[in-house]
Amino acid sequence: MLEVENLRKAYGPLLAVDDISFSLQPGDVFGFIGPNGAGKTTTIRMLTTLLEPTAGTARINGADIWRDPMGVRRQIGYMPDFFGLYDDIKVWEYLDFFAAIYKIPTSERQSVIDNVLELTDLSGKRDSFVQTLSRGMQQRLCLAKCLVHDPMLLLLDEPASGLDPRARAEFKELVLELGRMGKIVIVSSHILPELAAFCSKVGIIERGRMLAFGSVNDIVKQARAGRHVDVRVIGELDGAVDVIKSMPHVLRADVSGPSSFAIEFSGDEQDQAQLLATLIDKGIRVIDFRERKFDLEDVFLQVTTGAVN
Amino acid sequence: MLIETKRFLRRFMGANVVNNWVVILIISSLLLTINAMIYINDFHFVGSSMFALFLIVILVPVMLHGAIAGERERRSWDMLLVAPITKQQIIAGKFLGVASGIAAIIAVLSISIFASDYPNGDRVLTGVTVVLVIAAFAYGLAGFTLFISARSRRSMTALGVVYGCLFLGLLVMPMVTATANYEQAEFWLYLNPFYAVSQVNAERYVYTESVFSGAASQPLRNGYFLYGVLHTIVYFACGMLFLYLSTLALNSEGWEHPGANKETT
Repeated sequence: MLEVENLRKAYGPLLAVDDISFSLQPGDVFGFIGPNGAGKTTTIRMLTTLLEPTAGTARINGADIWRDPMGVRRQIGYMPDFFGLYDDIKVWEYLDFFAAIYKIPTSERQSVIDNVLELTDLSGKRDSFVQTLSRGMQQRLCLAKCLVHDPMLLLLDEPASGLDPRARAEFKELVLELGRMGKIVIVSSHILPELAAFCSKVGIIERGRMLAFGSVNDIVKQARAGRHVDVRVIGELDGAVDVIKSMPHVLRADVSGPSSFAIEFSGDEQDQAQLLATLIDKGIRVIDFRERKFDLEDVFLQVTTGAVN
Repeated sequence: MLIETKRFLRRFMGANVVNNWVVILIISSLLLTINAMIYINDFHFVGSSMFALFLIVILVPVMLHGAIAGERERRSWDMLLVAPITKQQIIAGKFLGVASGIAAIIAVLSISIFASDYPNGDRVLTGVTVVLVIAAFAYGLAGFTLFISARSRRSMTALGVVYGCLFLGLLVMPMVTATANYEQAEFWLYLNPFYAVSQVNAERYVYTESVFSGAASQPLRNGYFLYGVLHTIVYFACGMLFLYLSTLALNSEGWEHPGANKETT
């Protein structure tokens, strides 16, 4: 498992990462969300042992980034946001080079390379030169490189940037598969709807501070104060709003259009059903009664201030 | 190491026409040899040693200038740094990968040197000394280029700095000091591999009473064999020193993992 404890990085007076703590279990796919300059890449680079923390620590299966950096490196696969590959070598040679670095026995390298190429759907490009691969294929090759030593933790910094929609969809499937294989996957991204679709946990970071952490559903529940319902009626709108305002659990009700109003209330589903029943009992002709769905993007916009940008 | 050698061979010996100038230079070296062998009885040809040294001065920086700076430039450096290897191992791998290429070039050039400069099989020891000086200078220059590459962000900057230093050290400084102070000029000349090779070569004419008998300087007269051997040792030691400095340069810019000086505030 991954345990991050009070991780901090300061550049003079600027706190790039401010006391971040969280833990992840095998199989977790963690979406690391934040505006540009929020501290995502800094955090990831500290976890990879590339950047020295000012304070705090992290442990991967017990290996501490301070005391056992080589142990940490053996258990991680890191895909930077911008990366380059070597020219003048073939795809299998590139993987073989890293397999040798990770001390995979020569007798096993062939099968390991075949497996990661198959997993990343690059088997057909085995003998191609890396500089001839498309951007999406190079992304997959970089991921294949991260997998040759079967790491416990994968750190993918903006892995979907620059990919076309199809390549993104394929990449999403690949990350999900890695999660099913029991790996911890940390993905930083700006594409929030995609993250919500495949991340079991998300963390929202801004100005170095973790503002929210947990499953997508939990974070959405935490972020909104109550339920939000949009109602459209035929007839007198003000009368309908007055009826709603007089009911229990209703926090506010505001006209939002010529024939519609929005309700914010703190009740549960039973109370929500009662709202509709009451409106109908009072003779108000309701043509639309719908709970407004919150997604990760709404939560992100709500909890972050945009101060960094 | 193997992958570096493969990349080197593909880059310089592959189908890329632009890079094939290396092959052209080596072929021209062999042509010089044949030329010398044809006119073997007409003149004493000593140009192959100089030509080999010139090739080394040109080629070695080209081969190694991007070893680390190029990795940074193309953003592949981080992927090496997160691997469970030390920076010393990275430096050693880079050096050994190119060292095999240098060894191959020296081997080819040695044929040329022995065939043209020592065609009758005499003074073999002198020829070996010349080859050793050239090889040691090549490895010393490789260490220096790697050091500059480790200190640079861009590979072309590294190449420019290395060529600039060579221009200063091999041409400008001996000329400038020669006008100011003769002893300093002697110092710069003593470090100069072209001068060293010429002195070791001149030994042949000194002792065969050739027309170039006046070419031997004081160090040569005091012991021509030691003259070349000392250069071999100095150049090689400089190469090793620069490799060590390269690892220091890399360690100074990253996280050294002391494990003990963790700040807790």
